Amino acid sequence: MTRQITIWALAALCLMGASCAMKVERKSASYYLKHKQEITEILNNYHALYNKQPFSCGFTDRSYKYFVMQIMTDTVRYIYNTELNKETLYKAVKLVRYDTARLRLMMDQMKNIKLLWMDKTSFWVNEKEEIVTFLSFKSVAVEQPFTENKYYILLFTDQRLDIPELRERLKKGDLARIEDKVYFMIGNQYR
Amino acid sequence: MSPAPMHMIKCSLCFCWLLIGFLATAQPDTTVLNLYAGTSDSAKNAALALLKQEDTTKGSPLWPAVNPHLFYSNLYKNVLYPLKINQGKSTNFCGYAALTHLMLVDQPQVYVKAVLELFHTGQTIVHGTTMKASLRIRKAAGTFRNKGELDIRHADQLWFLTLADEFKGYLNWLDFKYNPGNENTAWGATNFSKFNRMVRKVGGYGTRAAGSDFLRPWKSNFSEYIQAQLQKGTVMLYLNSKLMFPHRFTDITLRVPTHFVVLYQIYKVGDLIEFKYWDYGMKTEQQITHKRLFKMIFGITSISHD
Repeated sequence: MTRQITIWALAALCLMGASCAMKVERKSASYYLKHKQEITEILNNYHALYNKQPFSCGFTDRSYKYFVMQIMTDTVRYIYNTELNKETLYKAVKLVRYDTARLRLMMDQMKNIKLLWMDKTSFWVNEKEEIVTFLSFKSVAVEQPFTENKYYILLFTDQRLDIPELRERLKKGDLARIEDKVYFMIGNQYR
Repeated sequence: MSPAPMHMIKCSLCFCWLLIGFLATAQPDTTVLNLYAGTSDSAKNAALALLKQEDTTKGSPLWPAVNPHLFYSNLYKNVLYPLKINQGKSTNFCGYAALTHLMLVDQPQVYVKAVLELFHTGQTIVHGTTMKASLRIRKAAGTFRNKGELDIRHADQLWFLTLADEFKGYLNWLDFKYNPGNENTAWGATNFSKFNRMVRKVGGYGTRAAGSDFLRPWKSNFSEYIQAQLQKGTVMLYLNSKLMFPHRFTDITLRVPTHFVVLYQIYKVGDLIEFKYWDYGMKTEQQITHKRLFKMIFGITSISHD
């Protein structure tokens, strides 16, 4: 028994050592520029479907097998997960009358570029709401255990934002501008 | 029929006053809550009547950063749409928001009176509990940034900060005094017993609690117990929010409670549990396995309708 524990402990240490020694490549502006076309297509599909009924969506596992949708009404948010109950999700999609072909295409596109989550969020500037679409990916380019547990988040704004808070965040380096209305940041939460 | 003598009328009046006095003192010291029946028109109208007496253009020197326009529009919205009350992004205000949601549905006039008194005088008495806003939080209310809609909800900032400053649990021992940015630190955190204390003292409700900050409720079947409690009254859950939205991207998830929600429905759908709860300004309906429900819940607070 003691021998078994020692072997497991050594194996775990080797694994951790190997993952630490591995060169960790973090996603940055170049990742967006490389996948710009796919990301633009995903965004177009997302906005078209979102206009029918607001929602957010993504995957819950590393193999990108299980899909989650959060469909929002004014007062209720419905969360459906294909891992637990596919039928309920299909029923909801049918009920809302989403374009299922477009939804399927968007899902496949998300899977291809390993996009974890997509949603819209808002912040307030001078009592005015600014809506931002965000896309989350794992921050490192490798799919190994014990890698950095952070997320590469792309932010898309509708208009060029020039506000003191944003300038401050850009200056501090916790937000980076890629293009006029595209930014990225490394965050602790993917949704 | 001859008119009743004067002393008889006096006696009758005295008896009536005594009866009214007796009835008033015979009321239980806890408020009866029926969250699921929604806000009564009389309660809502009483709250709106209080607001109508206010000069909505006039600020308060006690709260220099609170904008009167944002303050009063926030109060009106809270009374008209009690579901929409929101703790904001990146804050530890979920416990205060859950309690406020209960009050807005059930006793909006009490809530409005308390917030207005705080705004005008810096202190209030709610259900016999005195709350006094300290100078630090009076300066801070109205200054929040990057907290989502809470940025423009100045009445909510004032109220949440006052609750957080007034009620302390062991999680707040390390950071007792407010400093800017403390909204998402230990200063604003709420543990299970502190939450129940607030529900009793500020909400005026009688509570029954199962569970704790570390150990899950000692119940053989969570869903059946919660369903039974829902039959009797209102239920609030203290749970781990990360386990509410399971994913396999992280290797370790700490098994500790982090979030308060108000439960609206729970029932079985095949092998799964479907439940509907309130948090972040809206209701959420989702399905979950029995095992995850067990892992997720650390505390169950019930308020009986009786």
